[in-house]
Amino acid sequence: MQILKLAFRNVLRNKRRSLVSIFVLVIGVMGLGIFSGFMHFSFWGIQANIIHVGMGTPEGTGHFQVFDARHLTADEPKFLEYGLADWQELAKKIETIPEVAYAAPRMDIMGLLGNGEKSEPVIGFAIDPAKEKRLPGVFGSAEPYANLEKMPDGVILGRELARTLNAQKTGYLTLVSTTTDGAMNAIDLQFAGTINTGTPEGDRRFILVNLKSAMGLIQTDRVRKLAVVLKESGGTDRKHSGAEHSRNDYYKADMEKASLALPALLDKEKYTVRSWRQLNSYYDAVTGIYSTIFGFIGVVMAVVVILSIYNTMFMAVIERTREVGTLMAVGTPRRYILLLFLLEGMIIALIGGILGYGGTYVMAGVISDAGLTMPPPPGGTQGYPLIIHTVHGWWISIVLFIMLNTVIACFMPAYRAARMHIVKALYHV
Amino acid sequence: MAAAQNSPCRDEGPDMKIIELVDICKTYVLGKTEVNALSSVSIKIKKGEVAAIAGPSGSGKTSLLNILGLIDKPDSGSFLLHGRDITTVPLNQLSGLRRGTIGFVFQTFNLIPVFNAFENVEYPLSFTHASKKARKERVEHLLQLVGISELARHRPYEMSGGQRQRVAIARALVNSPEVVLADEPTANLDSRTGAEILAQMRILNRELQVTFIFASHDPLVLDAVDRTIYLHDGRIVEGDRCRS
Repeated sequence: MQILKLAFRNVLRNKRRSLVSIFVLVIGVMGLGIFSGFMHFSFWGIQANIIHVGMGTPEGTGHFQVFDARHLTADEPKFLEYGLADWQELAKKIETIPEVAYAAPRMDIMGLLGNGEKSEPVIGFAIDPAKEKRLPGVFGSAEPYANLEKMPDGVILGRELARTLNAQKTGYLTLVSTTTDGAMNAIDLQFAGTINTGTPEGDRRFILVNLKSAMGLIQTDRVRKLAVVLKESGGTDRKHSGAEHSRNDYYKADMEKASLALPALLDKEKYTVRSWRQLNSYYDAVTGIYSTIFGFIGVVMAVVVILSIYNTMFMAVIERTREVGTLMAVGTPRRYILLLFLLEGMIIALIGGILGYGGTYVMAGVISDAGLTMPPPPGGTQGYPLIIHTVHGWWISIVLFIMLNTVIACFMPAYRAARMHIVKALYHV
Repeated sequence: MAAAQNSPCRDEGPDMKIIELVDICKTYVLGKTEVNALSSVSIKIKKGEVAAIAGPSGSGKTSLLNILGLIDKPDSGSFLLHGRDITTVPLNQLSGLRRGTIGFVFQTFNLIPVFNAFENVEYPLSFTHASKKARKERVEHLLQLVGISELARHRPYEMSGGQRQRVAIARALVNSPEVVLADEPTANLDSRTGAEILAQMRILNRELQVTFIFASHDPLVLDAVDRTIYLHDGRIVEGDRCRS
């Protein structure tokens, strides 16, 4: 106890130096903490966007997609040859899984969309808007889907495409495509609104049409896939709160349950299930880049902390050489001298860690509530809110990491103190 | 005056001996120069005596005191503590032995500045098994004994040199050592305070039967001791004289 008391008082002894060390630790913890909170938000945001809104596509992937098993492994002799013929029964079957909200049919379409004066090549999806309107949840607007639901012969265009074709004024547009037999076919569609795909390329090319219209155009009763959406998907809110993360965890748990239930329910020979993560490699690419940046920042912070604390403790040992000699002369074992300086470092680390943790929590709240917006990502057209997630688990790890570095930094000066020759220390000038 | 009253010391027998140094040599290397701090020094320290190691600067007083205090080791010779040769015990294992046997009083007091008087005296006890209550009683008793119980909560910077030295004496005595070693204990004190401190040590020597050994060339100290060991260039000169 005396050693602890001595260590604590020694920390208070040179207040300015201790404060500088604590400040360095606070900055280290806060820097890593804020970045990790932003990183968590980014991962979560990208995940939500891929699933619910789509990244570079007119709509989200859903949590899973079910395909004909041959579609992902072989070339189709004809368009939709490896589509899902029994999609209605299959959707009903999938919707019996408790975690599943719905399974929505989708078909890829491509062709030329014209207004009588000019035509543009387009790609997109044919969907069931009654189901899909639930998909954006809080992450995007359900309006285009609601409009499409109201207009069975409607078409939703990317914003730039709508402007190019002057769709608002023209009202009706003609979509030309090929049937499954390879013949040309065309249908007239009514302009039902625009959709923001998030990328300039998507805004110039993408369309959404009703599945029924597309089936008539392509002359098929098949769909390409079923997009499976989990019940929790629409309930995740954007706000910065602790509840958000517990909901996010629940959502993760649902993913795990559904990923087990789906293959068990479906015939492996006939169907293939892909998760949103398998369908969009962007998430893994971003997490990889962010993790590398975080690791680099972590190393930089560790070096700054180690050098700062080492300098502080080394100065303390030099200045207190005679005192160390006295402590040893009055019977303090060498291991206690080592412990004394390590404790001083740990006290600084503990104060810095606690203050850094508190500072991170407050700063995360301030930044998230400030309504700041990040610029659009490369290739994007829309900025996104700057939100720092409260990630207690990560922050605790950061504090422990910084504290560990502090103890490492203290060890050499402490060891030097413990190894001092008593006589040399006592008569040190 | 002291020399006129002194006579060669008699060996009081093995039961009275606490420390015996036999043919102790110590050499320091300063750059390329070797300095013989001690050459074939042999002395015996007896229980309850008050002795001084005297001599000019550089004569080896402090070197001898450091070896007696188990904070330095001789290059050759034997160190017998209660008849047991501890010369081969590594320096880093001597802290326990030192704690229970030797107390130190330094010229510059060497108190821990962040501790008050009570805590400074209590500190060496923290490495023993003494209970908190026993420690408190022991420290209060010693502070009373050295006459500064009213300054128990004062930090060193709030005390005079004499008061600090009293705290240092109490700290040296807290583990009930057999020997207290004092290196120039009066050097940083005015003569009146120095005399008071010496008188205090004499009282403690009588009451607690603690051996005091001073390294000093202060006549005040040499007048106050029973025995003087004169050193010159690392050797005992003029014999080892005891007050008759």
